[in-house]
Amino acid sequence: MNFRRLLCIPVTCLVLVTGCEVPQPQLSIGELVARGQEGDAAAVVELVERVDSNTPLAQRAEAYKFLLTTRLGEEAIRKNFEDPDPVRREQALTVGAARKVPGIFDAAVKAIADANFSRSNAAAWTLGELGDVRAVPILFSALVRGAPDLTAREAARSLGRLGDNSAHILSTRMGELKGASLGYGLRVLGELRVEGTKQTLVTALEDPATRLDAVWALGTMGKVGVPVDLTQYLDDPDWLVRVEACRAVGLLSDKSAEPLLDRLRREDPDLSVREWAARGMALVTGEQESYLDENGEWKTPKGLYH
Amino acid sequence: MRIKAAPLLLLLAITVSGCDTAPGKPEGTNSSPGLSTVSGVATKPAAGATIYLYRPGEDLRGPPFTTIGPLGSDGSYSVDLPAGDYIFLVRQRENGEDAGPLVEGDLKSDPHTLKVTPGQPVTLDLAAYIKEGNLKENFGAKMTNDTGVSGVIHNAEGNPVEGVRVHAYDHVQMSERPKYVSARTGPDGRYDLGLTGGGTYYICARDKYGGPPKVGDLYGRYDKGTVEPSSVIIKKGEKKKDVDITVHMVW
Repeated sequence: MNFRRLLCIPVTCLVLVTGCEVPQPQLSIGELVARGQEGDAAAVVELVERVDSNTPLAQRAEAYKFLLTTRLGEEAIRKNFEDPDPVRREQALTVGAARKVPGIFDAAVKAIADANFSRSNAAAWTLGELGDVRAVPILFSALVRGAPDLTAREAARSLGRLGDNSAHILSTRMGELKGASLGYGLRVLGELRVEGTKQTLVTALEDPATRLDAVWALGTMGKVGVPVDLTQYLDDPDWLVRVEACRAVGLLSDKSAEPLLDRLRREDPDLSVREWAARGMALVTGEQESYLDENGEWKTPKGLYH
Repeated sequence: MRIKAAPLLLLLAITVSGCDTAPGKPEGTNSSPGLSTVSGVATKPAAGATIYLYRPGEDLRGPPFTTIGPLGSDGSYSVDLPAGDYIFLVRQRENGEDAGPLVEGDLKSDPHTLKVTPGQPVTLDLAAYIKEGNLKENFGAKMTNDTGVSGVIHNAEGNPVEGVRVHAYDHVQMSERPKYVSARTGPDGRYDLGLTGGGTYYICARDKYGGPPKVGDLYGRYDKGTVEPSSVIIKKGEKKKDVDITVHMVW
């Protein structure tokens, strides 16, 4: 037996041993969380990498809640900021926002504009959660795009969270918004309650397409700035506008609306309007008010309003 | 609904009574003034179950006045209550949730009304049974009128979401007990919620029942991008369609 043959024996053994190595069973999400709670950084990294679109919601939630409580796994989270798996990317962005992971703002800016990222609503939420005013034009652009609708709505809500910083752009560039986004923008402007933006809502009253949202917004805005007479919309041909006008004059405690509300709660051909007229009147008078139901009997509205 | 005393009757009969003084316990000794102690024993297999206490007139499917538990391994409990009438119910859901309709295989007791009198401790043992039949209780499907709302629940990718319920509230705060709750969605994500009458509703879809949505829950709300939820007005006799809701995990 020559030297070359002798050498083959240990090499062959080594190959056999390696080949026979029993694969370690993969740890469950729960086990990784448990190890992470004990400070096992490698387990936390694996946890971040493991969660994806195929992970059941309960396990995703378990992993997510744990990741909010630890400082471990930051680099793994950052690595997933642009992951092609939408769930993994969503998790990285939202955990990143909660933990203020470095680079999260830029990652969210990129994600909200990424047409291939189906969960860009998570990016819109992230920008609102971070509270950085640089996000205002970014969120407004998402609102202008209008799609996906869930992202546009979340962008509107985040603009609302950024407060007065959002009011100016919404007010001056409202004309860029179309369709559902226009309604979202008007309503958020109402929730922001900034006096200088009130005229934008008043202007929107003139267009039947935006009147409903404008009436809602002006009611929500409350007694800010110069009073606006909304009582004329109590007779609007659109019954939904009449409903919102009943709510709005009630929220504004507009005493002048009381006789009109009293008439509507008795006579409006639409039952929903009669019901909301009673709610609006109750807000004005501070007393419980009733309306005539479909059987001509007095009835107290179901539910309260504010 | 069929509740049958199974061969595996879990707890034996209600032995109580409303008037027994707990042995070895002088009247009112451990209670605060104005409270009376109600105690009892729930033997194994009721370990892990929860006792729900309601006041008369409250919806037994809604949030309780208070809960006791989950019970420990010996099944015993003790609670100090102000004077008044209470309804006791034992429940234990196999899925581990603390709210939502009971389904086949869950543990439940019949409601037991108890009058609590100041300074008079009471011993109350509760019998519970395994629920049989009625695999999926469907609040909405019991409605046979022609008023309602329907649509599809999907996720951000537009895929239908299975296993969520639609809740309809008639208060804008959406924090009270929901007025209507649909059956869980199937694989097609469709829901069909029957209503007893028209009105203004605030609607959400979620995978849990009871309490505000928590981080990790699946949740989606009908709204127009505002903090305040948007209303859905449904007229009597109207079946409003295509009220679709997108859900996502609460961050």
